[in-house]
Amino acid sequence: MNKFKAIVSETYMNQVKSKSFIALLLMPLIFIIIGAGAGYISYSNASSSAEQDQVAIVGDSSIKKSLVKLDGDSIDSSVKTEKQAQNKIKSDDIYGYVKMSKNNNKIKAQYIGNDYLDSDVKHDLMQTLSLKQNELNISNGGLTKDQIQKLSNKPLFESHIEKQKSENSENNDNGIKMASLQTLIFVLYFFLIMYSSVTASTIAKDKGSKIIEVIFSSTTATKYFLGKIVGIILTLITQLIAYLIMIFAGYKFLSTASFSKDIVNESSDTIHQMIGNFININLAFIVLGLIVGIILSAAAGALVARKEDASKSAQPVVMITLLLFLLSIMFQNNSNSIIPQILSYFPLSSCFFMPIRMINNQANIFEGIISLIILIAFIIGLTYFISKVYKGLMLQNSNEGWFKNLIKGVKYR
Amino acid sequence: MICILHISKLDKYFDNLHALSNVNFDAQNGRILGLIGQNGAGKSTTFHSILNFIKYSGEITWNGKHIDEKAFDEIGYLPEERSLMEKATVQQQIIYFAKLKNRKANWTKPRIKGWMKKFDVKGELNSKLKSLSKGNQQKIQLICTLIHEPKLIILDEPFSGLDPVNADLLKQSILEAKDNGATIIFSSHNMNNVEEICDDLVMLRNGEVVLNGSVQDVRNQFGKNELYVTTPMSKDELQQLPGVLSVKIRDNNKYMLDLSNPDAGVELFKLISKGKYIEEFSQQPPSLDEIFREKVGETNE
Ligand SMILES: Nc1ncnc2c1ncn2[C@@H]1O[C@H](COP(=O)(O)OP(=O)(O)OP(=O)(O)O)[C@@H](O)[C@H]1O
Ligand SMILES: [Mg+2]
Repeated sequence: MNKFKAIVSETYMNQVKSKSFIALLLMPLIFIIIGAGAGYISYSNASSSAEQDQVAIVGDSSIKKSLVKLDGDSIDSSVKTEKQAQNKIKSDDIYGYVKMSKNNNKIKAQYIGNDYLDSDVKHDLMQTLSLKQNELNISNGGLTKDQIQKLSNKPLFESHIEKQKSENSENNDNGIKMASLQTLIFVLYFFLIMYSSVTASTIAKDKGSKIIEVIFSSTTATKYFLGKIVGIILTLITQLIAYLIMIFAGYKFLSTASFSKDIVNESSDTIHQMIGNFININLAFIVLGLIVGIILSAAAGALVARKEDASKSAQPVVMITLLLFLLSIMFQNNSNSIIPQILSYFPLSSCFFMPIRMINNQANIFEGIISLIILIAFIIGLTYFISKVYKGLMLQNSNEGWFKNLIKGVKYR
Repeated sequence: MICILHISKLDKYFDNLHALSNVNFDAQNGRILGLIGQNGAGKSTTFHSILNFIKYSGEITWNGKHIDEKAFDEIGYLPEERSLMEKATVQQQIIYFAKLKNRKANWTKPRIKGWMKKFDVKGELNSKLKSLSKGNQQKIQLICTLIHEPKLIILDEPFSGLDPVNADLLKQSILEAKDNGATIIFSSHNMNNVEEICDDLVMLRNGEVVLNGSVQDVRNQFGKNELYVTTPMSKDELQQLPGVLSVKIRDNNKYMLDLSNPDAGVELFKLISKGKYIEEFSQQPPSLDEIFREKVGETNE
């Protein structure tokens, strides 16, 4: 036990005191400062930047002209065609447009937009249209029954709301989902890459420098292997706790600072829902995923022959991580197809895909637990297997690429 | 108490290479055993077998028991390839390795200074290992090997890289450990070192034991065929004498004569001294160096 503790604390202290670790700890602080800065700048600009509150009128320039006289501010008079109007909606310059047309001497106004038409504009529009329709009716001649009926023709107003910008619950849910997925994939990817190289290189250094011979003349390979892993996991936990404290403190600060509190409070629901997406079984997947990454990297580190190759030693794990990263980006919006379904049970990829499917509400808690059990069993089996062959992996010295080294190492003893 | 490292019928194959074949020898406490042999003879492989680094056939026991993690606490091992932790200080390094031998930090700490003095290490407790010279780093590693007071000391080429003065310091420590009752076994290419401090000797050739016994026995086995003399006679004159195979000049008037048989010495003493005082006339068995060369030579024939 003493020896195990010695290995754990040596590994931990070495990591925590390293410059790169301290730099990493400061990173979110820098993010928060940049974020706050950006928030502050956009806040001070907010008053001057005009909100998109204009509509366009297309299809009849005389109606447009009379409307511009009435509601000049609310109408973007530069728009002439429907195409232009559609483009301007896309670029958020206007929130909608009214398309005028004539059919059977009837004036028709069709409104297409992201938001309801401003009621003042609508009122003025209707008045102008009535006038125009009247003119039209009169110019159409005699006052037969037919004509009276024509006189009673009212302009038609149709409203099509395509996409609403305001707080609509379903849309907001989607936003939270997307943000959660992106956070999940990014966090897993980032930490996996970082910790696989940290783990692999510390072990590769021990191996390449032959310090391992002194260690293996003192303790068992299993204790060394587990000690290294625990040391690295403690480093990871330290970093996560530091990040959480910083994020929490940053959140508290931003939600009270005058320039940002409105934005933060407005989105506090979103933030809470996002956190809710992680403080559940998904957290177990993230943590266990990182642990699998660390275990595999500890094996990968044992597969290089020279100290100089330590920095490349994590390559096999980095490649797997990259592949999973790309797959999850590919399937994040299509996570119920057969491939992600399979991947969400397969031990390694499940750390990415089960949470993705859970966030997308495509897997229930039981499926999650089954996948988690598979993952835990895999971790236990993997740890057992690697600790059995670890002595051979660490002591064999051939340098024929990681796969051949693995085979040789397994057969070594 | 007698502590014995017992090796019997040790056999090891690396794929098709028969690295060790039927190696048998014992190492005893209070004695120093030198393991000699050419490059690739199997010295390091023998050590790796003792430490369970590799699987082998045969039997290796320490005090009658297999060598396991518990036995490791009593072992001090200096690997062939030297190196220390990259970022550690002298003190951190020594304490860490001692912890792995079940010595607590506060047991080790007060002893470090004394060891550094003993080995004349140029450096401080908190010097970075990287900042030390290569020889001083090697001394730190020797301290790591010895500080936990091991009962079985295994040193793979401990003298390589040390200058003669420091080699002497190491010899002193090895002899000290011997006096304290440790069992010491080390490999070396330098026969002088072996001759000076070893009690016993095992020579390997292509994985086989070709010599095994106390240093004296081994040398005597080869007969006292070497004659060291100091005489004003010339090399040519000496060459003519009966029973002399060859003559080597050691220094002014100092020669080493190779005799055809040990008995030739009696007649030669008369011929060289001519009944007068003679400064040096010493008939000796061959040095280990010569035995080594001879034994190695046998393979090449
Ligand atoms: N892990 C290994 N795999 C394959 N062959 C090995 C391995 N270790 C040693 N050998 C071979 O076994 C033989 C004995 O090697 P060993 O290292 O024991 O020699 P040595 O006596 O220590 O030599 P040196 O004086 O050069 O250190 C050599 O031929 C070597 O190539
Ligand atoms: Mg060797």
